[in-house]
Amino acid sequence: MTTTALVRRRHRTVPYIARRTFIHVGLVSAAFVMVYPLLWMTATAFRPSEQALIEDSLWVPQPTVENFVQGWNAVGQSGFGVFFLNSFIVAGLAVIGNVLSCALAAYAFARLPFRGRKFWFGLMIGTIMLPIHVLLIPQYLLFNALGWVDTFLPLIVPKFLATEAFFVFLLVQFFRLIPREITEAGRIDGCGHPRIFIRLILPLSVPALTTAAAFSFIWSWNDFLHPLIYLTSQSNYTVPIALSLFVDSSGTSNYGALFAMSLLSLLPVIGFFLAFQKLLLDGISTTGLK
Amino acid sequence: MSHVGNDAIGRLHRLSRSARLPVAIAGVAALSLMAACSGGDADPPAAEDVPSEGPIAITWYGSDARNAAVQQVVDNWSAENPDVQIETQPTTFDSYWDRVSVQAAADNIACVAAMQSRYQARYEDRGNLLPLDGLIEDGTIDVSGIPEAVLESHRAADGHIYVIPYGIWFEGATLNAPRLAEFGQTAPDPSGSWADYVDWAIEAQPSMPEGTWAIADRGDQITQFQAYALGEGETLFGDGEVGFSEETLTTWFDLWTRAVEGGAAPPPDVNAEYAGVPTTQSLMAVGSVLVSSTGDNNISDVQIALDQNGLGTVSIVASPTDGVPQVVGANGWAISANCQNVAASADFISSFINTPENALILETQTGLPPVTSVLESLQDDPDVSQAIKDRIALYFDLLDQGATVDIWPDGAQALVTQIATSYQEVAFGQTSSQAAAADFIAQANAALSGF
Repeated sequence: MTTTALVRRRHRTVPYIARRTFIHVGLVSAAFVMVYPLLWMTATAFRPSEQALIEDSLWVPQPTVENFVQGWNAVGQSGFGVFFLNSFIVAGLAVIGNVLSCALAAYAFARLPFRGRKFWFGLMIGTIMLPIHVLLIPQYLLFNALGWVDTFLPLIVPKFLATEAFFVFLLVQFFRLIPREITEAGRIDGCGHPRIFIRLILPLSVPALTTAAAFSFIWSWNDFLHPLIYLTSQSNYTVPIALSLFVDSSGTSNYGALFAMSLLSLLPVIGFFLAFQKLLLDGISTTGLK
Repeated sequence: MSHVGNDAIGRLHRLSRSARLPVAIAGVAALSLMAACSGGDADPPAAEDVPSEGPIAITWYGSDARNAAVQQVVDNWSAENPDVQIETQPTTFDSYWDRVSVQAAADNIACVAAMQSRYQARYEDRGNLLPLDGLIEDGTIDVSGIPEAVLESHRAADGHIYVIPYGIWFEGATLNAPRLAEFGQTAPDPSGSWADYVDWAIEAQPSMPEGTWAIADRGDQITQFQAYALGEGETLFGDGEVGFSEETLTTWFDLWTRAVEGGAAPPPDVNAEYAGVPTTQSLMAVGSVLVSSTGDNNISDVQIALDQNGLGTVSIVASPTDGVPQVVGANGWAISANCQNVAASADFISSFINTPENALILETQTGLPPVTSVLESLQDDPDVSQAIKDRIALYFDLLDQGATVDIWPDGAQALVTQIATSYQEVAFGQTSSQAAAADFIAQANAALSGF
């Protein structure tokens, strides 16, 4: 009897099937527990607002889109369309800025010999440990002095200056995995650092760059504190700030509209993940991210 | 050294009591450093001394509906003052203090900034706000209609008034009298203390059906403990420390433990489950408890929920302080020390509080108007709901009894959650009432003293 046949027979045995069934039921149950909040939020978005926090079932007997209509037009004089546009501008430019600047910084740390490289790299890594609240006030003072408060600039310009040490670290790790023989070959062919970076390093680093872009987008899209501090006019609010306006401890809250708009706000993040799923997984697996 | 400079070290010492928000801590740190280098003290400016050029920013907090109402009032004022460029910065209550803390660090608070009696001391103490005494004295800000006790409550330790109240709220006991009558009970005597309420509840509980409790467990509520402490002849805050004894807090915890063990209040697991739910889904609103407490502005929400299920009618009475005058809270307007158009800001504030039409637009969402004539105009208006008129009538009663606005010292906000934690440890049997009280007082004193 061949090995394949033996394996097939063993797979047909009752204990094997029972064990596999048990494992799958367990995994599906655990997955349901994980996904339940998302499903509940989806169901609640289609439920009348007054039932929002009363019902815990996922079944909506009489679904309504009223929450979406209300939510889209409820906050301030701008409407959620403006908030989504603001978020796309901020998150989109943050992605571009982070990927470009962090890749340049990472290339320098990974491939350029310069005095004190280890020290500066360590210092850069050390900035990850600085609590955000330590930086917030000095940054605010600076941006206020520049007249940038209530503009998108404080949320975008720093991203073009490689201030996100996490992404620099991530890309350094990836660049170090690229065989030096490849860049040496480029050098022999007459490439300088700019051409090696653009023609060799970047094309080989698409998974890592995608990972950096994805995290950058998600963090920027979900960022609450910085937009809260820097954006004071309602017409400049991003989605997280606008969402917070639905719920307030000092008055009546509109939970139905909150969940409806929350559901919409998740769509770009989910879309981003689905579009770049394969590259993301490659990037995460090759850079040692968990 | 300047007034600001004199306070610099003290300000730095106060940093650690800003336990509520890391942002606030960082904001205060930077602010203190800046304040140490800033300008000197001066008499509160009068109308002819203040700058009157440039745009004004107005910032406040609230839910979306409340923000829309305030925005409408701002828009109306703007229409009457087309030469003043206005920028509005509304946000939610919790977010508001994060933002203002950072803005304070950069001397960049909006010209007209909402304050609240539980938070304003921080900004008054640190020189972020303009003393308004001069503008009050020359009539630029007309406060003649505000009861003296209410206005004077806002006078800071340095003798100046920095905040003009625009909305008053108060906490009281809530009673579902019709539902009590269904079970053959009459409402408890509102002139007593919480101890009298609990005694009444234990006696009334046997006539309640399964799953209904005579009284809500209020052991974790700092404002209700305050009412109890007032009844005991004590106060919530002293000078840099708590104003009540360990014995008073211990008996407070024991009181509610007795209510729960007597079956008159929900068990701790039910209480924990309902902690933090919206007012419309509180145990009182779903008809599971018949006596509780809340802010006067929440009564309408509770009634809406009760009406949905035909579960009775809620009414609010004074806090059970055993006859001692209770305290009220206030939202107020301040003008920032960095404001470049104080004249327009002062005019806006004066208009906001004195225009009866504004009160109709706001529908008391920001609290009861502080000006007596405006309150009376609401009472006379047939379009104003009876619930609002009842609240106004009770507020007038409270004022007659000697109520004042309770301005909390800086650092006191942490006590709200701290007492809830301490009481839950008692309720779940993790510690004794006395130990919890001692622990709470130690932590509260640390927060209030600045270390």
